[in-house]
Amino acid sequence: MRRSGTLVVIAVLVVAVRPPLRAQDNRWERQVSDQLRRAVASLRGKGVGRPDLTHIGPLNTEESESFPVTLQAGLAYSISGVCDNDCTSLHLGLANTAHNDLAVDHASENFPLLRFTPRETTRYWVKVTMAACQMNPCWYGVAIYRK
Amino acid sequence: MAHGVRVWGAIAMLACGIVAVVYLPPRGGVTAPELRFAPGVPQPTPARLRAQDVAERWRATQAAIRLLESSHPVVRPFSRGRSDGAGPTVIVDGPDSVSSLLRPLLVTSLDTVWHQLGLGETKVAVVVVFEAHRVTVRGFAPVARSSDASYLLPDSGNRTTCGVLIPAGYWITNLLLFRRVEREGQFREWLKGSLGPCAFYAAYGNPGKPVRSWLARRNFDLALYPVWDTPGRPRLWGLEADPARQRWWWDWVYNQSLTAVACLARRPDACRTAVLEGVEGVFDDSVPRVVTLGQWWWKSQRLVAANRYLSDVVREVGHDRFLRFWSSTQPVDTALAAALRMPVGEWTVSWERRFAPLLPLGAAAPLSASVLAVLLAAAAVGSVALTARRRQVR
Repeated sequence: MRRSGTLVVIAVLVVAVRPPLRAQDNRWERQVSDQLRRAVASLRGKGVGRPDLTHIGPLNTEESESFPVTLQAGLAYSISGVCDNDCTSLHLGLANTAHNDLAVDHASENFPLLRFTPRETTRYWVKVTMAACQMNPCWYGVAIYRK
Repeated sequence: MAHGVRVWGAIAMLACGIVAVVYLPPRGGVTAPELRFAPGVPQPTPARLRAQDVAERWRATQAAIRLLESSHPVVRPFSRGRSDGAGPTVIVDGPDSVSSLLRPLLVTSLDTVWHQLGLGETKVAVVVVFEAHRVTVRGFAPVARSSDASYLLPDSGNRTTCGVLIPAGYWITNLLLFRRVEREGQFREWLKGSLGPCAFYAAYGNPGKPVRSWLARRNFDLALYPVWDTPGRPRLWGLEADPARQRWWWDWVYNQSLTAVACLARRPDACRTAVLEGVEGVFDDSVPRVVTLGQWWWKSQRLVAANRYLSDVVREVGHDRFLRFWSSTQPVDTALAAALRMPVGEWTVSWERRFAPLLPLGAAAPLSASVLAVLLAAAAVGSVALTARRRQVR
C-alpha cells in the first residue's frame, strides 16, 4: 500500500516536471517548417529519402545549440539547416563525442548543408550556430537524411 | 589726523558694513538645504541597510517564483490565454470569481494598448500576471509593498517568453469596486507603463548581448516606460508645479546623482557617462533575469527621466534603426551613436533640452551681489576721481 502510494507520487512528479507543452507554432516556426519541407522535396530528387530526424528551435545571435544523433557506419548522410526570414547566417557543424569537428559549413549563409559518411556507428553531435539574426530569437531547423 | 584720511576711513568702514549686512548669516551665505524630498527617517544603520537589502532580494525572488509558476504551461495552461499569438497572455491570480470578472476587462484594455504600441504577433511572447489579492505571508517575511511591476526576462533557458507581474494596487482595486474601467485613458497609460521592458522585447525581440548586459547592469532603467507611440515630454518632479515658471526644486536636485545633475547642466560628457554607465564588463548569460524596482527607484536615477529614454530614441530614429541598435553585437556606444547619427552625449543634451530648463551649476554671483559690487566700485572710482580733481599741485 505504502509502495503504491510512493509510485503515485513519483508518477505525479514525472508528469509535473515533463517539458512544457508546445504552444501553437508561431509565424517564424511555420516559416522554418515550410523551408524544411522544401529542402526535403529538393533533396528527394537527388536520391535522398525522408529525414531520419528534424530539430527546430530558437536561438539568439551568436548562440549555439548542440544535439546528439546516432549515425550508422558506411551510410552517406546529408544534414541540412534552414532558418526564418530574419536570419541571415546560420552555421552547421558535426562533431564526435570528444567535440572534435568532423564537418562544418560556415559559408552557405542561411542554407548550410553537410555531407558525411561515418566510419563507425556511434553518437555524434550536430552543432547549430546562429551567426546573424536581425530580430532575436531566430528559429532554425535541421534535418538529417541518408541515401 | 588729516580730514581726508578720516573721510576715507569712514567710507571704507561703511563699505565693510554694507558687505557684512548683505553676506553674513543669518541673512546671507550658503546653508545646507533641508531635504524635504528625502524620506523622513533617521540615517539608516548598517544593520538596517542589510535588512533592507535582504528584504529587497526576498521580494525579487518571490516575484520570480510567482512569474515562473504563473507562466509555466504545466501550472497554468496557455489555453487560458489567447491562441492566435497576437497579444499578451493575461492571467489573473486570485479567486475564480475575481478572475472571471477582471480578466475580460484586462484583456480588452491590454489588446488596445498592444495595438497602440504597434505590436501584433511577436517573437517574444508576453505573459502578464495580475495579482488580484494581496500576498499574505506568515511570519516575518517582507510583504510585497511596492505596487510597481516586476519582470522575468527571457534567457537561454526560455528565449521566447517575457513575464510581467503586476501586484494588486489602486487600479485593480478600482476595477473590483466599480466592475468597469474608470478613466480609460489613464488606465491604459498605466497598463502600457507596466509592460516595461517586456514591451521592448515584444517589439524588437531579445537584445544583442552588449545591449542586454548593459541594461541588466542598470536594472533596465532606460527601458521601463514603453511610450514610443505617444509624443510628449516627461513632467519632472524637480520642476515647480507651474511649468511656465520652469524653476528648479532644489531639494529634488540635491537628491539626484552627480551625472544626472551635470547632464541637466547640458554637459555632453556627463550625459554620455549617465547613459553609458554599465557598458563595461563581460557579455555572458549571468546577468539577472528578474527585474524588480525598489521602493524609491525613481528618486535617484543616473539620468533624469531615464525610464523613457529608449522610448524617445525609438520615436526619434524609427523602428528599423532602433532594431539594428537593439540587436547589435557591436559595443553599445558605437551602436547607439550609429542609430542616433550623432554622439550619445550630444543627443542626450538635446533630448533633455526638450523637457528641462538649463540647470545653472558652478560659481555664479547672484544678481543682488553683482549690483552691489558694481555700485561699490562706481562709488570708489567716483570718489577717487572727485578727489583727484580737487587736488592741487603747488
